[in-house]
Amino acid sequence: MSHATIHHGVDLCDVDTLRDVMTRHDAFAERVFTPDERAYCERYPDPVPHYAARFAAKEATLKALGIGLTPFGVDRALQDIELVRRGRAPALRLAGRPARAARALGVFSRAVSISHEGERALASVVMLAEAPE
Amino acid sequence: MANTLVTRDKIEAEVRAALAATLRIEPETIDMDTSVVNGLQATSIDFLDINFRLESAFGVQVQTQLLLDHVEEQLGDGKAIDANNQITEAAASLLKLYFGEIEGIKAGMYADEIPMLVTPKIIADGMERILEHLPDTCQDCGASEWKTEDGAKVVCGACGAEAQYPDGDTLVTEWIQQVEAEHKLFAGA
Repeated sequence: MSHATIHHGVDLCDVDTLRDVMTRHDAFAERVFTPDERAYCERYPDPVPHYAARFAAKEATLKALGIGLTPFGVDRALQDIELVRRGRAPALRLAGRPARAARALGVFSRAVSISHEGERALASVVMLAEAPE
Repeated sequence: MANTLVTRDKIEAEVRAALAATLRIEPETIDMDTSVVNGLQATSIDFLDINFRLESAFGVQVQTQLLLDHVEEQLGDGKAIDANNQITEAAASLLKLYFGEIEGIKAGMYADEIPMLVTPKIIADGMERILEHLPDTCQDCGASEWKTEDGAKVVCGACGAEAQYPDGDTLVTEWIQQVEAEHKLFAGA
Protein backbone atom coordinates (compact mmCIF):
# COMPACT_ATOMS: atom_id res chain seq x y z
CA MET A 1 0.00 0.00 0.00
CA SER A 2 1.43 3.39 -0.98
CA HIS A 3 1.57 6.31 1.42
CA ALA A 4 1.29 10.05 0.88
CA THR A 5 2.07 13.09 2.95
CA ILE A 6 -0.37 15.99 3.22
CA HIS A 7 0.72 19.62 2.86
CA HIS A 8 -1.85 22.16 3.94
CA GLY A 9 -1.87 25.96 3.81
CA VAL A 10 -4.56 28.39 4.86
CA ASP A 11 -4.71 32.18 4.60
CA LEU A 12 -7.04 35.00 5.51
CA CYS A 13 -6.90 38.28 3.58
CA ASP A 14 -8.36 41.53 4.84
CA VAL A 15 -10.34 43.07 1.97
CA ASP A 16 -10.00 46.67 3.17
CA THR A 17 -6.23 46.36 3.58
CA LEU A 18 -5.93 45.01 0.06
CA ARG A 19 -8.26 47.74 -1.23
CA ASP A 20 -6.05 50.43 0.36
CA VAL A 21 -2.87 49.01 -1.14
CA MET A 22 -4.40 48.51 -4.59
CA THR A 23 -5.71 52.09 -4.53
CA ARG A 24 -2.30 53.42 -3.54
CA HIS A 25 -0.34 51.57 -6.22
CA ASP A 26 -1.70 51.47 -9.76
CA ALA A 27 0.69 48.68 -10.74
CA PHE A 28 -0.33 46.36 -7.92
CA ALA A 29 -2.94 44.32 -9.79
CA GLU A 30 -0.73 43.92 -12.85
CA ARG A 31 2.33 42.81 -10.85
CA VAL A 32 0.51 40.43 -8.50
CA PHE A 33 -2.38 38.90 -10.48
CA THR A 34 -2.35 37.18 -13.86
CA PRO A 35 -4.26 38.65 -16.83
CA ASP A 36 -6.97 35.98 -16.50
CA GLU A 37 -7.34 36.61 -12.78
CA ARG A 38 -7.69 40.33 -13.43
CA ALA A 39 -10.23 39.75 -16.18
CA TYR A 40 -12.29 37.52 -13.87
CA CYS A 41 -12.25 39.92 -10.93
CA GLU A 42 -12.95 43.02 -13.00
CA ARG A 43 -16.27 41.54 -14.15
CA TYR A 44 -17.68 42.38 -10.73
CA PRO A 45 -18.88 45.84 -9.60
CA ASP A 46 -16.53 45.52 -6.64
CA PRO A 47 -13.60 43.36 -7.75
CA VAL A 48 -11.55 43.68 -4.55
CA PRO A 49 -13.17 40.81 -2.56
CA HIS A 50 -12.44 38.56 -5.55
CA TYR A 51 -8.85 39.77 -5.70
CA ALA A 52 -8.62 39.17 -1.94
CA ALA A 53 -9.75 35.55 -2.34
CA ARG A 54 -7.10 35.04 -5.00
CA PHE A 55 -4.43 36.70 -2.90
CA ALA A 56 -5.36 34.38 -0.02
CA ALA A 57 -5.12 31.39 -2.38
CA LYS A 58 -1.62 32.44 -3.44
CA GLU A 59 -0.54 32.84 0.18
CA ALA A 60 -2.12 29.53 1.20
CA THR A 61 -0.26 27.82 -1.65
CA LEU A 62 3.06 29.30 -0.55
CA LYS A 63 2.39 28.05 2.99
CA ALA A 64 1.50 24.57 1.78
CA LEU A 65 4.72 24.47 -0.24
CA GLY A 66 6.82 25.85 2.60
CA ILE A 67 8.17 28.78 0.64
CA GLY A 68 8.15 32.38 1.78
CA LEU A 69 7.79 35.64 -0.08
CA THR A 70 10.78 37.91 -0.24
CA PRO A 71 10.23 41.02 1.93
CA PHE A 72 12.54 42.90 -0.43
CA GLY A 73 10.91 42.80 -3.81
CA VAL A 74 7.58 42.31 -5.53
CA ASP A 75 7.75 38.55 -5.58
CA ARG A 76 6.98 36.96 -8.93
CA ALA A 77 5.92 33.79 -7.11
CA LEU A 78 2.57 35.52 -6.70
CA GLN A 79 2.13 35.66 -10.49
CA ASP A 80 3.31 32.05 -10.73
CA ILE A 81 0.35 30.84 -8.68
CA GLU A 82 -2.87 31.29 -10.60
CA LEU A 83 -6.37 30.51 -9.45
CA VAL A 84 -8.25 29.12 -12.43
CA ARG A 85 -11.79 27.85 -12.84
CA ARG A 86 -12.75 24.33 -13.83
CA GLY A 87 -16.48 24.84 -14.20
CA ARG A 88 -17.52 26.31 -10.88
CA ALA A 89 -14.70 24.70 -8.95
CA PRO A 90 -11.44 26.60 -8.50
CA ALA A 91 -8.10 25.00 -9.22
CA LEU A 92 -4.44 26.03 -9.05
CA ARG A 93 -2.01 26.47 -11.93
CA LEU A 94 1.63 26.64 -10.83
CA ALA A 95 4.73 27.87 -12.67
CA GLY A 96 8.24 29.02 -11.76
CA ARG A 97 9.37 28.67 -8.15
CA PRO A 98 6.08 27.27 -6.79
CA ALA A 99 6.08 24.61 -9.52
CA ARG A 100 9.70 23.70 -8.71
CA ALA A 101 8.86 23.48 -5.00
CA ALA A 102 5.87 21.23 -5.74
CA ARG A 103 8.06 18.96 -7.87
CA ALA A 104 10.68 18.81 -5.12
CA LEU A 105 8.02 17.77 -2.62
CA GLY A 106 6.61 15.13 -4.97
CA VAL A 107 3.15 16.72 -5.10
CA PHE A 108 0.83 14.64 -7.28
CA SER A 109 -2.56 16.10 -6.39
CA ARG A 110 -3.85 19.39 -5.02
CA ALA A 111 -7.08 21.16 -4.19
CA VAL A 112 -8.02 24.74 -3.33
CA SER A 113 -11.13 26.23 -1.80
CA ILE A 114 -11.89 29.94 -1.40
CA SER A 115 -14.57 31.94 0.36
CA HIS A 116 -15.24 35.62 1.00
CA GLU A 117 -17.78 37.34 3.16
CA GLY A 118 -17.78 40.91 4.42
CA GLU A 119 -14.25 42.12 4.97
CA ARG A 120 -12.49 38.77 4.96
CA ALA A 121 -11.45 36.36 2.23
CA LEU A 122 -10.23 32.87 3.07
CA ALA A 123 -8.40 30.20 1.11
CA SER A 124 -7.35 26.68 1.96
CA VAL A 125 -4.95 24.61 -0.12
CA VAL A 126 -4.29 20.89 0.32
CA MET A 127 -1.57 19.00 -1.53
CA LEU A 128 -0.82 15.30 -1.57
CA ALA A 129 2.79 14.32 -2.05
CA GLU A 130 4.70 11.08 -2.29
CA ALA A 131 5.85 10.03 1.15
CA PRO A 132 9.65 10.16 1.57
CA GLU A 133 11.38 6.77 1.34
CA MET B 1 28.85 55.90 -12.67
CA ALA B 2 28.88 56.40 -8.91
CA ASN B 3 25.64 57.88 -7.67
CA THR B 4 26.57 60.79 -5.41
CA LEU B 5 23.10 62.32 -5.66
CA VAL B 6 21.31 59.73 -3.51
CA THR B 7 23.03 59.30 -0.17
CA ARG B 8 22.91 56.34 2.20
CA ASP B 9 21.21 58.57 4.77
CA LYS B 10 18.47 59.39 2.27
CA ILE B 11 18.03 55.71 1.37
CA GLU B 12 17.65 54.76 5.04
CA ALA B 13 15.25 57.67 5.60
CA GLU B 14 13.05 56.51 2.71
CA VAL B 15 13.11 52.90 3.96
CA ARG B 16 12.06 54.10 7.41
CA ALA B 17 9.36 56.30 5.87
CA ALA B 18 7.97 53.44 3.75
CA LEU B 19 7.94 51.03 6.69
CA ALA B 20 6.39 53.64 8.96
CA ALA B 21 3.65 54.60 6.51
CA THR B 22 2.69 51.00 5.80
CA LEU B 23 2.93 49.71 9.36
CA ARG B 24 1.55 52.89 10.94
CA ILE B 25 4.47 53.37 13.30
CA GLU B 26 6.83 56.28 13.96
CA PRO B 27 9.89 56.21 11.66
CA GLU B 28 12.30 57.06 14.48
CA THR B 29 11.20 53.99 16.46
CA ILE B 30 12.41 51.62 13.72
CA ASP B 31 15.57 49.67 14.56
CA MET B 32 17.41 49.13 11.25
CA ASP B 33 18.64 45.74 12.49
CA THR B 34 15.30 44.27 13.54
CA SER B 35 13.48 41.60 11.53
CA VAL B 36 10.84 43.16 9.29
CA VAL B 37 8.66 40.10 9.80
CA ASN B 38 9.21 39.11 13.43
CA GLY B 39 10.18 42.49 14.86
CA LEU B 40 7.99 44.89 12.88
CA GLN B 41 5.20 42.35 12.27
CA ALA B 42 4.95 43.07 8.55
CA THR B 43 2.67 40.77 6.54
CA SER B 44 3.02 39.85 2.88
CA ILE B 45 0.63 42.61 1.74
CA ASP B 46 2.78 45.00 3.78
CA PHE B 47 5.92 43.77 1.93
CA LEU B 48 4.29 44.62 -1.35
CA ASP B 49 3.11 48.02 -0.15
CA ILE B 50 6.59 48.86 1.18
CA ASN B 51 8.30 47.81 -2.04
CA PHE B 52 5.88 49.72 -4.25
CA ARG B 53 6.49 52.81 -2.09
CA LEU B 54 10.27 52.46 -2.46
CA GLU B 55 10.08 51.82 -6.19
CA SER B 56 8.02 54.96 -6.56
CA ALA B 57 10.29 57.06 -4.31
CA PHE B 58 13.51 56.14 -6.15
CA GLY B 59 12.19 55.33 -9.63
CA VAL B 60 13.61 51.79 -9.64
CA GLN B 61 12.36 48.23 -10.02
CA VAL B 62 13.40 45.90 -7.23
CA GLN B 63 14.03 42.19 -7.59
CA THR B 64 11.13 39.79 -8.00
CA GLN B 65 12.46 36.69 -6.32
CA LEU B 66 14.73 35.50 -3.55
CA LEU B 67 18.45 35.30 -4.14
CA LEU B 68 18.40 31.51 -3.86
CA ASP B 69 15.62 31.21 -6.39
CA HIS B 70 17.83 33.09 -8.83
CA VAL B 71 20.52 30.50 -8.12
CA GLU B 72 18.13 27.62 -8.81
CA GLU B 73 16.95 29.28 -11.99
CA GLN B 74 20.50 29.81 -13.23
CA LEU B 75 22.27 26.71 -11.97
CA GLY B 76 19.54 24.10 -11.59
CA ASP B 77 17.05 22.63 -9.11
CA GLY B 78 18.50 21.50 -5.81
CA LYS B 79 21.68 23.57 -6.02
CA ALA B 80 20.54 25.99 -3.32
CA ILE B 81 17.46 24.37 -1.75
CA ASP B 82 17.19 20.62 -1.28
CA ALA B 83 14.13 18.37 -1.47
CA ASN B 84 13.43 18.97 2.23
CA ASN B 85 13.28 22.73 1.59
CA GLN B 86 16.56 23.21 3.48
CA ILE B 87 19.38 25.35 2.15
CA THR B 88 22.68 23.83 1.06
CA GLU B 89 26.21 24.67 2.32
CA ALA B 90 26.89 26.59 -0.88
CA ALA B 91 23.66 28.54 -0.51
CA ALA B 92 24.49 29.49 3.09
CA SER B 93 27.91 30.74 1.95
CA LEU B 94 26.31 32.78 -0.81
CA LEU B 95 23.78 34.34 1.58
CA LYS B 96 26.59 35.35 3.93
CA LEU B 97 28.41 37.05 1.06
CA TYR B 98 25.22 38.88 0.11
CA PHE B 99 23.81 39.82 3.50
CA GLY B 100 27.05 40.01 5.48
CA GLU B 101 27.50 38.12 8.73
CA ILE B 102 23.98 38.40 10.07
CA GLU B 103 22.87 36.00 12.75
CA GLY B 104 20.92 32.93 11.76
CA ILE B 105 22.26 32.01 8.32
CA LYS B 106 23.37 28.38 8.30
CA ALA B 107 23.26 25.36 6.05
CA GLY B 108 20.20 23.24 6.80
CA MET B 109 17.95 26.15 7.72
CA TYR B 110 14.58 26.05 5.99
CA ALA B 111 14.22 28.25 2.93
CA ASP B 112 11.05 29.84 4.27
CA GLU B 113 13.01 31.08 7.29
CA ILE B 114 15.13 33.37 5.11
CA PRO B 115 12.52 36.16 4.81
CA MET B 116 12.50 36.33 8.62
CA LEU B 117 16.14 37.48 8.51
CA VAL B 118 15.43 40.53 6.36
CA THR B 119 15.91 43.80 8.23
CA PRO B 120 15.36 47.44 7.25
CA LYS B 121 19.15 47.66 6.81
CA ILE B 122 19.07 44.78 4.30
CA ILE B 123 16.28 46.52 2.39
CA ALA B 124 18.37 49.71 2.34
CA ASP B 125 21.39 47.69 1.14
CA GLY B 126 19.28 46.29 -1.68
CA MET B 127 18.13 49.73 -2.73
CA GLU B 128 21.71 51.00 -2.61
CA ARG B 129 22.89 48.18 -4.89
CA ILE B 130 20.43 49.36 -7.54
CA LEU B 131 20.98 53.08 -7.02
CA GLU B 132 24.75 52.84 -7.35
CA HIS B 133 24.19 51.84 -11.00
CA LEU B 134 23.20 55.30 -12.18
CA PRO B 135 23.85 55.27 -15.94
CA ASP B 136 26.57 57.53 -17.32
CA THR B 137 24.17 59.29 -19.64
CA CYS B 138 20.46 59.84 -20.02
CA GLN B 139 18.82 56.99 -21.91
CA ASP B 140 16.55 59.47 -23.70
CA CYS B 141 18.78 62.39 -24.74
CA GLY B 142 22.35 61.25 -24.02
CA ALA B 143 23.14 64.13 -21.67
CA SER B 144 25.11 63.51 -18.50
CA GLU B 145 23.50 66.15 -16.33
CA TRP B 146 21.74 64.19 -13.61
CA LYS B 147 20.05 66.11 -10.82
CA THR B 148 17.63 65.47 -8.00
CA GLU B 149 15.09 67.70 -6.33
CA ASP B 150 14.23 65.47 -3.39
CA GLY B 151 17.44 63.48 -2.94
CA ALA B 152 15.72 60.25 -4.01
CA LYS B 153 14.54 60.39 -7.60
CA VAL B 154 17.21 61.31 -10.14
CA VAL B 155 16.22 63.03 -13.36
CA CYS B 156 18.06 64.30 -16.41
CA GLY B 157 18.95 67.98 -16.10
CA ALA B 158 18.63 68.41 -19.87
CA CYS B 159 15.36 66.64 -20.77
CA GLY B 160 13.76 65.80 -17.41
CA ALA B 161 13.58 62.02 -17.99
CA GLU B 162 13.87 59.83 -14.89
CA ALA B 163 17.15 57.92 -14.67
CA GLN B 164 16.67 54.34 -15.83
CA TYR B 165 18.53 51.99 -13.48
CA PRO B 166 19.03 48.30 -14.22
CA ASP B 167 16.32 46.27 -12.47
CA GLY B 168 16.98 44.30 -9.29
CA ASP B 169 16.77 40.90 -11.00
CA THR B 170 19.38 41.82 -13.61
CA LEU B 171 21.79 43.00 -10.92
CA VAL B 172 21.26 39.92 -8.73
CA THR B 173 21.82 37.64 -11.73
CA GLU B 174 25.07 39.42 -12.60
CA TRP B 175 26.21 39.32 -8.98
CA ILE B 176 25.64 35.56 -8.71
CA GLN B 177 27.60 35.00 -11.94
CA GLN B 178 30.52 37.09 -10.62
CA VAL B 179 30.54 35.34 -7.24
CA GLU B 180 30.32 31.90 -8.81
CA ALA B 181 33.18 32.70 -11.21
CA GLU B 182 35.30 33.83 -8.27
CA HIS B 183 34.35 31.40 -5.48
CA LYS B 184 32.88 28.39 -7.36
CA LEU B 185 30.47 27.76 -4.49
CA PHE B 186 28.07 25.66 -6.53
CA ALA B 187 30.47 24.09 -9.03
CA GLY B 188 30.99 20.95 -6.98
CA ALA B 189 27.63 20.97 -5.23
